[in-house]
Amino acid sequence: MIAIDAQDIYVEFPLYGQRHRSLRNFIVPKALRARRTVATGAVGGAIEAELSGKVVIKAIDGLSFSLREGDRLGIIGHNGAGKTTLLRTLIGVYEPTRGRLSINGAVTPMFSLSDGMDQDATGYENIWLRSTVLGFSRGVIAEHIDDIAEFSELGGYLNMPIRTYSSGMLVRLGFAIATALDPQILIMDEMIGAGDAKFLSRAEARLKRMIERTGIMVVATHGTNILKTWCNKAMLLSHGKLVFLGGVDEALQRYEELSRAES
Amino acid sequence: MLDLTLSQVFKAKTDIAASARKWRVWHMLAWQEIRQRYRRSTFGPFWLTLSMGVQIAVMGVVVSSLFGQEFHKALPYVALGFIFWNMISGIVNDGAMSFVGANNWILQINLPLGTYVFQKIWSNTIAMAHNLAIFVVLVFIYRIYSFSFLLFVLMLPLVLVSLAWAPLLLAIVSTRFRDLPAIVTNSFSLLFWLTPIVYRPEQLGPRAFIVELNPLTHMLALLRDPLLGQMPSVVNLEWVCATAIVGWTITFPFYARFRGRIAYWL
Repeated sequence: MIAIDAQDIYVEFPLYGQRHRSLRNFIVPKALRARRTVATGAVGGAIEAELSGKVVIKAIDGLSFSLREGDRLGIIGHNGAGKTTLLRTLIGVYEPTRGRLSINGAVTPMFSLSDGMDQDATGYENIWLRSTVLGFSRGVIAEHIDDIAEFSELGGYLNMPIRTYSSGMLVRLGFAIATALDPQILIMDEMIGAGDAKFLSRAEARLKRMIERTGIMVVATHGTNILKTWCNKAMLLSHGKLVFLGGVDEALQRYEELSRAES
Repeated sequence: MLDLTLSQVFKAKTDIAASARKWRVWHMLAWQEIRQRYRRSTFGPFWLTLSMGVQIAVMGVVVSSLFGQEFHKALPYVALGFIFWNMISGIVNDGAMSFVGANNWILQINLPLGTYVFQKIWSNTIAMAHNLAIFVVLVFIYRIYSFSFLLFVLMLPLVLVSLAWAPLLLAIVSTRFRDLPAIVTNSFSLLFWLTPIVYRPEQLGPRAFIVELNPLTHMLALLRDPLLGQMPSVVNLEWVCATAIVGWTITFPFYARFRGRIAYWL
């Protein structure tokens, strides 16, 4: 069964070369490693210093949640609330420094549409490159390549280096590749958007089909519309801590309250 | 010393095995890396070969007159010396940048980290294969075929295994300490003179032991000797196997311990 379970996970970044100035950096017994918070901002996770002077930023601060098949989770929160860090943790980029995270199912990250493309390679070559890197087998890619070509409507341009493409054409290609495959767990930082108005309605229909095929979707976003259209659950983060997890409308309401309280 | 947990060891093992299975990915990335450099140039990757060829021709002349050797004997020796040195130093130098150079990828997608190290090893192996064209030309000019060529096919994987821990180890440390790649590059320009690439160890007389203590000497011999029609010596084999064992014994626990930290350091 496709599932994500997080139990009290932490992601803490050590800051090197940022030793707390008032304290000398010498070897200290473990008892002195107790941490205290030295700074917080309106945005970002808590910054803590051990008595040894080592500075740590808590980007994810003790999160627990469970997701099951059919969950479409939207993550909201201020800049630096830990949205991207949480996504990267789910992808497997960051291993939690503490706590347990278990993920059942293959994770497909949907990263920015243009990264990992080779400007001098043709459209077709880039389809192979990107899909291979995303972990799909030759067989699967071969099955989808016609579909990608057709949907992108790039025709003969697919045999040309992509540096000859306009930015809109690049979006078409990236979008066509990204939405062709069947992910079990789909992780997105901001909803992928697509090109001109004519392309947009087709793109939305295609995105919808892909999300329907997906077991679990997690997307970080700032857009209220995106949340209401695509998600059935929402998570509100603040300073790396979970503020709310539940229905979309309530989460948005809590987000508004939070913003008001802090300003 | 190293706080290692069983699960870290297991994950590191899985990571390396999964990276090896992902050969399509690193094969593709390695080719892309080479092609990108020479895209839209007429000779493409053969520019690598061309510049190496010129270097070898010049060094061949210098070395044969310097050491009073016959040109046709010095040339294949120097040629193979350069070709394999280029591969070995490339693997270690590029390899040290495996994670730092791929940070954009590492932070966005979930490929096992070993993939990026395999990529660097493979791109340098591909470059070496291109450069071997120079040797093929020499083989036809001087008619130096031998059955021992077949041994080369066995020695190459062995040398790659005994070398591969170095780029992995350096890549991990380089992520945390960004001065390391520069140190590696400098060390290799020193090591160039401590490895019998253009000269022969015998020519050092009583000081030959210096190069004998350099594992790279033995790796080079294992690759070069079969192509010069000689059997590699048992001493060379022992050194290379020992390097592999010692290197991996250090590197694997190190990787297991710090693999999870690499993304944090990027």
